[in-house]
Amino acid sequence: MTQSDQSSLPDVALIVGGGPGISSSCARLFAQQGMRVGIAARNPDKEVLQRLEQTLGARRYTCDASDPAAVERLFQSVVRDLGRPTLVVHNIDGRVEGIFRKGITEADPELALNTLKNSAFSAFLVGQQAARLMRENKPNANGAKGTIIFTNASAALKGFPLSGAFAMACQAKSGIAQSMARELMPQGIHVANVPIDAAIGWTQEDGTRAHRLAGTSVDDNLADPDRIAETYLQLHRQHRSTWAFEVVLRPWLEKW
Amino acid sequence: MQPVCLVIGAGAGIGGNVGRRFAREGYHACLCRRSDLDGLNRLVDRINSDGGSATGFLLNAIEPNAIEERVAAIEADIGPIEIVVYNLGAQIGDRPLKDTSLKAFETGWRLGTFGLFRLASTVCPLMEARGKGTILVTSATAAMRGNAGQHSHAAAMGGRRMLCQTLNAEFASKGIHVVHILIDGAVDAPDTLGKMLGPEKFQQLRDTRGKEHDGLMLPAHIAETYVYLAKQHRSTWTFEIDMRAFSDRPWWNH
Repeated sequence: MTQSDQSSLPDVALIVGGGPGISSSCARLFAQQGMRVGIAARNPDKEVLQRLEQTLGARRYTCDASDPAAVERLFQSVVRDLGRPTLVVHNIDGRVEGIFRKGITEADPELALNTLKNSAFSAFLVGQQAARLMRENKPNANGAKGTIIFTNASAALKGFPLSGAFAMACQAKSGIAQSMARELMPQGIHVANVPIDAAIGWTQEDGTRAHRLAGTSVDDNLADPDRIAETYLQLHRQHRSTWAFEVVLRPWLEKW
Repeated sequence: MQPVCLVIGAGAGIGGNVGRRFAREGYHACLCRRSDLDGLNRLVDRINSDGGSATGFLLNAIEPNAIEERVAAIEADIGPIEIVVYNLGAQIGDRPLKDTSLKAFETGWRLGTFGLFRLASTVCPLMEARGKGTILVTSATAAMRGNAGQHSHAAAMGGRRMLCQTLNAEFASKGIHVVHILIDGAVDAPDTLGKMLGPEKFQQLRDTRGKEHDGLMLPAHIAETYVYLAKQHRSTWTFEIDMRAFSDRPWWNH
């Protein structure tokens, strides 16, 4: 992936929402590329995040991204510890236990609201803090002050049955992403929405990429998060004369 | 034999730059365009002198069998076509309905939609037999939005987008990656935008919006995304991508 020249200052990447999938793959790839990496999660003591700290020097942060004050504190801490972020990935699914596979007549309103807060509202909060800081960044060699990427899902493209809360959350996230893109791109901040139209299969301890729900028969029908991370990096490095807004990723065998 | 990247519509803009970029990746670039043999030779010479390899062909995509025969000859004489870039534009400028002739509409459709159909009919069986291939299709704002005066162009590009979707539906699971690439803005391309505007207006646009302003899409940078798409792992293919200059207004609901 040869791209245009980067500025001499190291990139500071913040990934909000951390687990074994896309966030870990992003942290590894970004660190390999010489970026300083921060990763925020409700529970940063997850083993997989501790390993990122040990192997990559990624800095872990505790953050409930649906809480405005917590998100503000997160960005202050990142600026203090790592520097001003130039790449922010919002990577929160947001669904809470008890909301999965619930029809509209049975979904608990409180859980639906929590899903919305965790997903779209936290995207707003993270996007807002990122934009406030990035506006003041110096443009890099590509003319960009920073990149904000929203991980999204199939539900951003279509509302599936028994998934109303998630559909509402994902489409709201697309909306805030689109609005931010139109506002911020002319100011030199690249905003992208990346719906992953697939189940994610990360490499497990035993070397396989089986998904927890998909059994063991994996024939590339699960998106490999290491490859998703490559797309995020490519978006971050696009020259500002050719910025992409929405990139849907799906496996070759996926029906859609 | 060296794998081939076939570019249909290779001027000094996206087509030529994409061909050149794939030549740097080790493909033999087969560059096709309708006219301007001198311009074509310059593109080919530049690739060859950069250490790549390329061949140029004059090709009128509207002529019966022109695409089909070119594909067959390349496969026989040069190598397997692994990457196809369909980059023919069909923009004729804004024209109200009364000024859009039947002929203009039909030509738009032949360049916009039918040429891609003929190309796909010819290369898909070859790619399917090999179990892999990439078809990168340049498209335009008009594929998403029918703006005033775009009768011919919008119909042609809307057709192109839907054709890409049905090609993808049939061939993705057979290893052929089809990508509909939305170029949602003016490209700094002397052979298309430059000719449409004339030299004076084009230079004016370059001075005010292009160059260091980065408000015109720069084809050399667009080419990076084409190469990136062709390299995507099959567990994470993109079917459609939209690109524009950072300072431009997107097509969606102006």
